[in-house]
Amino acid sequence: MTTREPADARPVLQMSDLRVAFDGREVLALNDFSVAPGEVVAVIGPNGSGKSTLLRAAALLLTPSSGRVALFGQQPRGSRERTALRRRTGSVFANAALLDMSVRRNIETALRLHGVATEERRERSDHWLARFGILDRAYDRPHTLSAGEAQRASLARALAVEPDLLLLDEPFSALDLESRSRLVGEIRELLLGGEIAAVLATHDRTEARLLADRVTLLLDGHPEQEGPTEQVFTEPRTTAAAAFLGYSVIPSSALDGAPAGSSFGCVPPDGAVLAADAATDARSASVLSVQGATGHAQVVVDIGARLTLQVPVEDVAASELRVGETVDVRIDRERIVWL
Amino acid sequence: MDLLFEAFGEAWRLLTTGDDDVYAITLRTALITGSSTLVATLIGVPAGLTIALARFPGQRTLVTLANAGTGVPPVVAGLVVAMLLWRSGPLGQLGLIYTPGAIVIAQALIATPIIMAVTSASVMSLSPDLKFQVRAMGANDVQYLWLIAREARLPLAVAIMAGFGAVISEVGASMMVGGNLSGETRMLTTAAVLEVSRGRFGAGLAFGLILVALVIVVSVVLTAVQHRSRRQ
Repeated sequence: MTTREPADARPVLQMSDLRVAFDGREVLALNDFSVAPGEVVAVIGPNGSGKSTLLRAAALLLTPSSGRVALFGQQPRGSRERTALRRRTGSVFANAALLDMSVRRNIETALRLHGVATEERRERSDHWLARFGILDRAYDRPHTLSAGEAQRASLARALAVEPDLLLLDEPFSALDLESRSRLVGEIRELLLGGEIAAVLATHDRTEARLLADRVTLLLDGHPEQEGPTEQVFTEPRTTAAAAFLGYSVIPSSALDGAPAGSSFGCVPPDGAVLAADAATDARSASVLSVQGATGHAQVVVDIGARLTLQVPVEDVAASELRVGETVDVRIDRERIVWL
Repeated sequence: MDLLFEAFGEAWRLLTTGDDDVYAITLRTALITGSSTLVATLIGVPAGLTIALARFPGQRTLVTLANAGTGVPPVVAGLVVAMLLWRSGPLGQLGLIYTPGAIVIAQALIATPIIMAVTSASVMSLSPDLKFQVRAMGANDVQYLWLIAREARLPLAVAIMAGFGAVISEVGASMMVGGNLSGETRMLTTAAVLEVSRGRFGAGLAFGLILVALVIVVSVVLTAVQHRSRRQ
């Protein structure tokens, strides 16, 4: 996503010195987290890293142990102010969380809570149902919908209220690959307009890279790295960040040409390939595992440390690659991030 | 065997010849148990929703108490209400002892914990994401309770049915606080007990059959409501 320059730079969401603990265990600690108008921020991290907690804190759905959460420049005091601020947001959860009523009524109920007049509710719900291609399911109940349709309905409900801030908590995680790809594309088109700010919690690096202007990587409830999306993905600052971003973290001693003072070399997922011939810069390695992935197979080899390669599935099939086999591997030294 | 045939014959006669006493007792039972179930619903559903959704000190204790309350013997509930409403008791000046009002109070005391416990259990079992979603949609406190109750409407119907089942079948509390006075506080259950104690099994059976019919009618109505809301 391209970085946008909104006219009003006042953050729509500002979290300062935020601490959230459940049963005495701290699950989220953020010193500063903000989202500008029209900006899309992805919060990435493995399961249990605090992404959903961050989104719930942002939606004023939980009370932090300490710190400040301000929406649209306002820190709410009391239930009434919290409700008023929540009405300027739209939330989508991983499991769609549709109410047990027709799809159209789900959207109309949200609009009713926002005080939208009866005649306008139908118009707006139909507009968003059509936009997400599920107008023909308007009268159907949630249990009759596929996971993809349910998530579309949930997105339509969140967007129909015309939120200033969209909070997306793993919205694509329950979908099959095809539905996920299509929906990510549709959401991208929507967010590219720059009219809605959004926070996207996801463990999927591709989604974050496609949708977000900025990324915050959370590990164990703490921000491990923050910054513009491409910078975070191409310049990991710690080995933990690199490992989550898909880099192979290899001791410098196992790599050629390590600069002085570096302890690790981080090889990006597409920074090493199987060499077709025993070229001079290739090194031999034994195959540890071959795993399926989207469009690619992940081949893990041993070069004195574990190195993961992305190999086109047809190459894996053609070469009949097997565990224990010796292969030649070429690492693109220019792409190694030294830490 | 003769006893059984005679009893069924007598019951059939009472039910088909329009015995005024039988109809009066049936109507009174329906009114009293309906009222006590209504009172228990009005208290038990909001209380169950609150203990399931709100966070406050002593919440777990309250849930435990509600669960324990489902097993309180009607006789004990009757005893407590009788002591409170007894002429020399703390609420004696209300003059409610041996009135239908006293039975409604005692039965509501029996049904409220049942409705409260089933309501809170059913609301607690709703998806946490759904509860967050309703809040995130911008519902205020009242709208939140309403939408969550709507989501749990089918188990709520079961809760009400369970409360009604408990009060329509109890004898001890009604006997203790109502006194089983003819034409005033006699109910189907207490009348059945009285008739059997007199050896009039036919009358007792007639009251028993009406009792079962009442329970079936209420169950059919609530099940129809459940199916209707499912279809909608």
